[in-house]
Amino acid sequence: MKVLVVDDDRTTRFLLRRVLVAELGCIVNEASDGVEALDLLAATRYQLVILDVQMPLMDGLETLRALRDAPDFKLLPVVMLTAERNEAIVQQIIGLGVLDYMTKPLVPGRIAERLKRVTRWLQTENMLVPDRVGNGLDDQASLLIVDGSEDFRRFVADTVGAKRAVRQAETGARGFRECLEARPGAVFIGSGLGVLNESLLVRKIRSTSAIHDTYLVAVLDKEEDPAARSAGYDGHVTRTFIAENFLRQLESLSTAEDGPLRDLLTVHPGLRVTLISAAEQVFGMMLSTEVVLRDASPLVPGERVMAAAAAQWQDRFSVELRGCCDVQTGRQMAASLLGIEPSMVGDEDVDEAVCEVFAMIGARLQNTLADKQVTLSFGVPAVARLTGPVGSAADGEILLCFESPGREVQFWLRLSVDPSVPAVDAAAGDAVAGETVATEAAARETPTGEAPCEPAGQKETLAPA
Amino acid sequence: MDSQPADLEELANRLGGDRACLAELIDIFLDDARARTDEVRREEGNLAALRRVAHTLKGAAGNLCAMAASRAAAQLETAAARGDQSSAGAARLALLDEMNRLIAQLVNARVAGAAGSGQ
Repeated sequence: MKVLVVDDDRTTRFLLRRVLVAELGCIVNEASDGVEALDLLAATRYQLVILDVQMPLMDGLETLRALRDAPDFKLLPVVMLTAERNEAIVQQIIGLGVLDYMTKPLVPGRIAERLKRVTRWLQTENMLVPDRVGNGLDDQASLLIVDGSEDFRRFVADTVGAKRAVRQAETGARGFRECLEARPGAVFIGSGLGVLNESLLVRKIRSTSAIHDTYLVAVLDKEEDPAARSAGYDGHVTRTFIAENFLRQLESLSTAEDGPLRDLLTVHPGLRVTLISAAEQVFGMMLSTEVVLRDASPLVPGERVMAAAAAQWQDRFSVELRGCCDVQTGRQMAASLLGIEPSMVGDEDVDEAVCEVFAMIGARLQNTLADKQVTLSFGVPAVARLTGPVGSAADGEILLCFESPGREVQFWLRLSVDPSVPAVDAAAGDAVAGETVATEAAARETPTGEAPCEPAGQKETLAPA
Repeated sequence: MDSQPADLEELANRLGGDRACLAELIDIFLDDARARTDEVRREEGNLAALRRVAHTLKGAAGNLCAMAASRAAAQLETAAARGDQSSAGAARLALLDEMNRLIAQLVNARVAGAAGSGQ
């Protein structure tokens, strides 16, 4: 990957070059201001530009605007570099569609982690578009349904068969053989499979090197607890004989596996999704339908720190991304982001860290939607310290709430901060983005007409840009 | 160690213990830092120039784990941005002081070979 690093400070260029070359195997060119950068960009094709905001001659924002105005560079991936915590500047950066932004001073371990994530993102960006997801559920891949019920196997074959090949196996043993012989893209595993029952079949597939990464979907009975059959599976559907319902579940799986939201949330080494509500599916739906959501509702109470970003999408609906976390969690994030001990973290650091994580989520959301030719504007996250009733965020957790008040449904994502991820230096080599697991689904219906409680300090939330 | 302007041990740790890299980083910093410190000295009263150079020093000193100098630069940048001549004057002197201490420490470290041979 060829990367252009643009910064007037040589120590910054040196540190970035070192990480990019030594740890990511990139080819790096350097420019000390925007003019020199545009010169190099005209002559060479780069896969990524890292651009400082404040530079002499032509600053980073001016350069970025020039790039976005030029058809050839409209979609050029850019990571901004800034020593600023200035909201107006951050807002402009996000508004110009950047992949990520990093704050100075640079901590090598931290930037290595961030840039690894950025390059991984660039390498897999096709996966972010649901209809191009290569998780075994794409249109070309064949499916295998292993289930004791002939009726259900036939239903699946009839429902899905028009689009792709569907193989059937009535026992676990036959299903395993089919897996080895036909190498299906995805295997749906039901029940009544005989001696090689569902859990043995999953274990057998996972321990056979040739097929261990096959996409496995549990077919649950209506009353069955998804948690009881989560080990070894990549997803689950609920048994149904209604074609429309089955197809919708299939579509949700496609979206959920490598959907935009999963990636949006892997912005911080210590952040891990322990619960993904129906939001992921809803997001998939929002991206493909003309759902109209009405105006935003008041904030939902969180514990003590809350950041919110509001997004508007083509005036067709608005989504508010709200989050809350306890101070301890914010402190942990700040320590990690700043590369210092948690005991050294001040209140201001906590606010900035929370805002930065939310801004990163916003920037990534924006980029994901930009891929779909959707224009999105985000407000700058603001922090409100809440003194009101304690909300649902427990220690070490951050709640993100996607509200669609017109529909009286709130979609929650519960993120936890991984206590085993220390300050970034040590975490750089270990933290793996994307090892998040969706374990539970919850879309909370708000009773009609019930006004959500308004916490103190909510006026700090900013309106959409 | 705490009273040193730059925490070179911490910086070495951040660089994975690579002393040659540390030496190179220090040399790069020193190359520019002297000229920028001269600029701070020279541009007394020119708030626009002071703001720009303070901004650069803030980031560069931070990259070297020289947090006192970085903070002093940040204070000058803020004061200059506000157009506050009197605060900027005080912040300018504080920054000059911090930069002189920092440069002296880094030069000594290079002379003593404490930051590696650079090879």
